[in-house]
Amino acid sequence: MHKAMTRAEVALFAENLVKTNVVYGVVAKDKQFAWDRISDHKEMVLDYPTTISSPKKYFLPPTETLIEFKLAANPDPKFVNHSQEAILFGMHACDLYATKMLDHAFEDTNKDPNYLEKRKKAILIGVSCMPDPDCFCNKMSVDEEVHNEAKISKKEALYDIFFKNIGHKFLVSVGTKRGEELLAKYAKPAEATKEELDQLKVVEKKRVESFTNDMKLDVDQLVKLLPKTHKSPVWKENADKCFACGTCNLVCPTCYCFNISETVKLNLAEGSRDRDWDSCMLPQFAEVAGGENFREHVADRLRHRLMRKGLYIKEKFNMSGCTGCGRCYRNCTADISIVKMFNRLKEVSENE
Amino acid sequence: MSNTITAAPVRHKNTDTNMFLPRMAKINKIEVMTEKETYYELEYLDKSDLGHNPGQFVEVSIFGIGEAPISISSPPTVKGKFELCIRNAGMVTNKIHQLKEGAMVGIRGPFGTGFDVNNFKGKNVLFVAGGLGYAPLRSLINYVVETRKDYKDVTLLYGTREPKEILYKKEIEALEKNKDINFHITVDRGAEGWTKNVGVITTLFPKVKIDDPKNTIVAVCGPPIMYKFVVMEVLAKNIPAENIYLSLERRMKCGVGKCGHCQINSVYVCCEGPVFNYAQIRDFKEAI
Repeated sequence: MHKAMTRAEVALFAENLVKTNVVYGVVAKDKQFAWDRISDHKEMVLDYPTTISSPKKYFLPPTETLIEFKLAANPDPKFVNHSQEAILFGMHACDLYATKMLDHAFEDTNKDPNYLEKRKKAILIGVSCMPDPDCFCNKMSVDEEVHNEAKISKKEALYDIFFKNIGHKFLVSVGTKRGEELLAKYAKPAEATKEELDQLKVVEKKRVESFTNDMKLDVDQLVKLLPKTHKSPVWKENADKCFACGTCNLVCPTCYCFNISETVKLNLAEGSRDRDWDSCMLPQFAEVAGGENFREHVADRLRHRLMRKGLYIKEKFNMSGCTGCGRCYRNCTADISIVKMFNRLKEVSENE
Repeated sequence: MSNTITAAPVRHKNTDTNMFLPRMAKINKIEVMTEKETYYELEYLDKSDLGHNPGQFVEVSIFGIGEAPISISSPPTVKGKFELCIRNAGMVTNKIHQLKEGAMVGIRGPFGTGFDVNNFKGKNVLFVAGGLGYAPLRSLINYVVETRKDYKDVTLLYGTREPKEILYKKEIEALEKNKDINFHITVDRGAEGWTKNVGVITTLFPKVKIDDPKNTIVAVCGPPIMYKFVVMEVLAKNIPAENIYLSLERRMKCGVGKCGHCQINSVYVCCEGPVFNYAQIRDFKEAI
């Protein structure tokens, strides 16, 4: 199943890709890391801790034009297609899982052409990682989903190609026909040797053992717990600290709610209808024209966000709405931890 | 004119290439009804039917300003055109109120799940409309009035804040005179010359006689505060939860189940609603 490539061979593969394709990858940004368009493969890194925001911004940009129109008797609205062939190189397991979840969301009931066209034309190349203390993807079934080789034989891989870092080399798992063709076109990897496969087992064991998070619930336990917590005092406890700033929504790889707004060009003759990321933590999110606000209090909105992450998405798409990437905690202005909140909900529920 | 409609509620599936692309429609007729609400008759340029079920809604576009979700107030039996009752409540609806007959607007939809009309046939029907809630219910009320013989007792309760806020005044007068409809009206605050009931909508319930509650279907639409109290009255008359339909207001921004603003617990109101069976949502803490 696995091929093997030296670091130099992977670098050459990346160089070849960047020459003739639109490639997005991870680059250093001060002391952190971020997704960006890659023009020089040397800027791209494969060993990195979780990026600030997730690669969802490629498929669902912070602002995106949906239609364009004229400000005339006949506005003649037209769909704007932004899609292009592209390669996303270096996605962590949490972001691969999140992309699959977003695929469900944008395919469900009404197909969203803006998202799906971009998605269809994108090749996803994953890379293995080591957890930091805030990572809890092992509890959110993400780690298992991505590293489960059986999924590949059933054509359910979450990636086209996946690079597994075993130190001096990368072992390469091919998830799709597209991935296989891309690899064959730009690299000539050897089959992995028995020693290399043994080394992979050692590394994977080490990764699994490296999780130090305190998350006390897995996906199924969350689904059982959350319906009982609607009136839990835990929402208020955390709402008292929360600024309702919406940072957690922005950095979350599975948050996809958006607002729709209009832009009129300076010539006052044309305009566009755009979608912008929105946040269910902001006060106006569920407010209607008459002034009624269906989630007026921060506690209501906090509850709604966590219910989406732990319950609603799972009910709807049979995938976890939380990937355990830890971004919402790392970036929270008020230092609110989703893990501590879930654990506290469990604790309070058990003591009732 | 055909009286048959495809009544089984189905989740709206978009077949167009782009679900965000509106179709242009022309405003045929405008009639100011109250200080804030105006009636609009619209038609697609090719005069094609909107193809809606009672209780569904459309997104109305004013290009350069935005879109607003508006419930369809005409029954599906009105062919080649459709009617909206629009309250001046925000930027988009304010601009719509400035438009003249002949103006064009964009339309997306119909969206959402309407009333399960087949389930109403052969039964008693009780409508409870509060304020602007009359507009979405009108798509069903007028349909039931047109096909009156298909139902047993039909009762309509309608309440507004003041007499001057009563919508569709001519139609309301006709309903009051219609011997086949038990019609009761109330206002929260009376005015000079008002001789009918004064009080909130629940004060009309003592006038309602339900002979066969198991065979009575209820359709409710009104301001958010109204549902809880109306549902209590309805349940007190031994009408089962499965027989109660509520049309709920939420912020339906995209209309196609993506943007998240209209979500109640796990459901997207724009797809699975705005009409819900009470049995379906009574456990949803955020619903009513």
